[in-house]
Amino acid sequence: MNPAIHLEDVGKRYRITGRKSGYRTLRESLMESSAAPYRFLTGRTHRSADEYIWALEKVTLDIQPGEVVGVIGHNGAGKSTLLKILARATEPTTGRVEFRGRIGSLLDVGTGFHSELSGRENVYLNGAILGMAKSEVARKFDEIVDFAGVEQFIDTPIKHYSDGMRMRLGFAVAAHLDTEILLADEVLAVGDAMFQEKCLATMGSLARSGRTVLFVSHNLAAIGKHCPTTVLLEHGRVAYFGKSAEVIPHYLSSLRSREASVQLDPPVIDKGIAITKVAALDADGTPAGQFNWQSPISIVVEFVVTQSLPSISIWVGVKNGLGVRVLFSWIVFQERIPPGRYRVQGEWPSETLNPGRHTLDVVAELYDVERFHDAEDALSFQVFNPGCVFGHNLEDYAPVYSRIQWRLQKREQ
Amino acid sequence: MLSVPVEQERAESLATWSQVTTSIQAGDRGFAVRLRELWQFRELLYFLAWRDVKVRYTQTLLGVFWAILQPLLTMLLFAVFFGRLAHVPSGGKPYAVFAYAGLLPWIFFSSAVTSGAESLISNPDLIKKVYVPRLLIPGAAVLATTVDFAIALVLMVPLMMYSGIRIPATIVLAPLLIVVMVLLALAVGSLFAALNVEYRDVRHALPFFIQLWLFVSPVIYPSSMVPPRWRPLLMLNPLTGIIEAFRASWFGTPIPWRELSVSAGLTLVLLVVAVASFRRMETSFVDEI
Repeated sequence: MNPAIHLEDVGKRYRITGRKSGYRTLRESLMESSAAPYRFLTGRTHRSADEYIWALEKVTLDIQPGEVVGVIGHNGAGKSTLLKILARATEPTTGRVEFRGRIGSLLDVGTGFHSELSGRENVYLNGAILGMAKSEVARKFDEIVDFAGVEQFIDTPIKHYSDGMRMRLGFAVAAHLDTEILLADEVLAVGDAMFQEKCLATMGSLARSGRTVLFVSHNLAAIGKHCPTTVLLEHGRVAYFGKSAEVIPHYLSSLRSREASVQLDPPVIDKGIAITKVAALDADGTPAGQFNWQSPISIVVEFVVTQSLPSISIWVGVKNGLGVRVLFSWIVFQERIPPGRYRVQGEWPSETLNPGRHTLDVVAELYDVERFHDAEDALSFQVFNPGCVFGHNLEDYAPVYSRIQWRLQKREQ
Repeated sequence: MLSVPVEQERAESLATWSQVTTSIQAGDRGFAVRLRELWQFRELLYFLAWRDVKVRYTQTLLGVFWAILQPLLTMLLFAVFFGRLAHVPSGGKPYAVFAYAGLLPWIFFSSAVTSGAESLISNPDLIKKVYVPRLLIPGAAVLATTVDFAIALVLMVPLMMYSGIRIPATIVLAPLLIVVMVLLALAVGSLFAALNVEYRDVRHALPFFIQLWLFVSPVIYPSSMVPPRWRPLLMLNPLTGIIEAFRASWFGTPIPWRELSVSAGLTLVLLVVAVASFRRMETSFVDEI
């Protein structure tokens, strides 16, 4: 069977320097061309200030029809360049791309939206921009509006919409694209936490509907959940391409070395105690941003005490991707703490936090009386479950999972 | 049960579309304008043009009246200064009507080129975030301006009646002239649009350039006023033939076929050049904008 997407030796080069402003002026171009003969004589054929980077290099990939492929990699690894080339927003510098069928790109929501136009008008406009026929939009119109939840305001100019409503409407149109190949970027999951979940769920169901999907994400939980296959890009090249469960660990090991701790600015009013640093450590004691569900997570909080205080407590709360606080823990110091720098460390055993993104709130307070330093959303990290592909997702069952020792007994009648 | 036909339709569309292979080759600077693609996106052309028109008119107090007000006030101004005070000849017709018949194509052309030139840089999302045939963007800007032209055109009829000029049979030529005029605006507009992405100087140069263009076009004066030896030079301006022929079609004077064919020829050449250079510059739009 012919692949749905075929990339052969694809590369994209960008010029990164040589210009002070973002664009060229006619004068610059004229001066360059007048200097060309001189440069030719001196053998300097390139402007010395110019430097090029290869955002994508020698990428060769075959994606079969119906495959759902996750694309992961660090920032700057070439993920969005790859998507942009497939979406034909930019052209490759080298190589060739072939695809069968139509490509729908969900790289942005609400492209072309105009604030003076009503929701209805923008739906049609945006649909046309994404390549949908007017009749197709008309057929799906009610569904789109329903999905976005803006029925009452559909004939109101969208300048009166909240940002959230606007993005919901934009996503709703994109989610109803009916192309054979779909490119999706995780940043598309927009709006409040509830709607984000809905977006991700929609992407998941689009992925299962038999079309070919490329899904770019930093969210390993989402990749593991929706994509059986994953491409790992490193420095513009394909580092690994294969089963997600095998590729994701390669990415994680490269994340190890990355700093995953946060230095905090002291609060404006000095109340005698300030949190200076928050970090999440993996089993080896290294700060990390991604955690295997099956390994423990240590939380480190560093703080400075400037005046002797009684009954200080440090407490840590964890919110899940929906913004629901799922865990809470604290330490109360009974005795007075003299001024100085301190560090506390605590550990959550493995399988405590469900897969997904988590955010830490850290607070230093006078026990039950006054909050001295409130560091909300101080740090966030990801918990993933490498063994979980399609199907059993703990986070879908309940916010917290707990391993209980079950015993089976035979009852005597 | 509604989902069954939808699913079936999906499956059919999947089967059909999966046969269509698109290929992107690096460095493909060919003259592939991809006509099929433009046809696929024809609805978008309409939507973008309609958005421009709608937004322009809902944001203004006077709305559609601007389309009439601009040529009307310019006509009055010209009638006073060039007609009354400077006694510019107007081929035996009242100068006001003469000027209006010239202002219609001129105002269309200058505003179409201006908005066409701005179209790409004012719609960066359409270039960076999605793929649409980019030629549609200046195309829509030009198309939107034709609405203004059509509105202003209507006023020509009472002006003719007021001046006691009967509408001649040659008026049937007007639609053809309008087509040439729109194509010329499309060529010049898309050329400047592409240049504008790469060189923002265009922004500053264009208003001045257009102002100069007005004086080398027979809007204020008839080309018969220009000494015969300079006339071939005037004809190098593709607007000359269009404006002269447009006037002639309203006033029943002999159609200047020679000028018109030069204009049409130049328009065709410009269109080819514009589309080719647009295609060449298009490849770097997304990286420049």
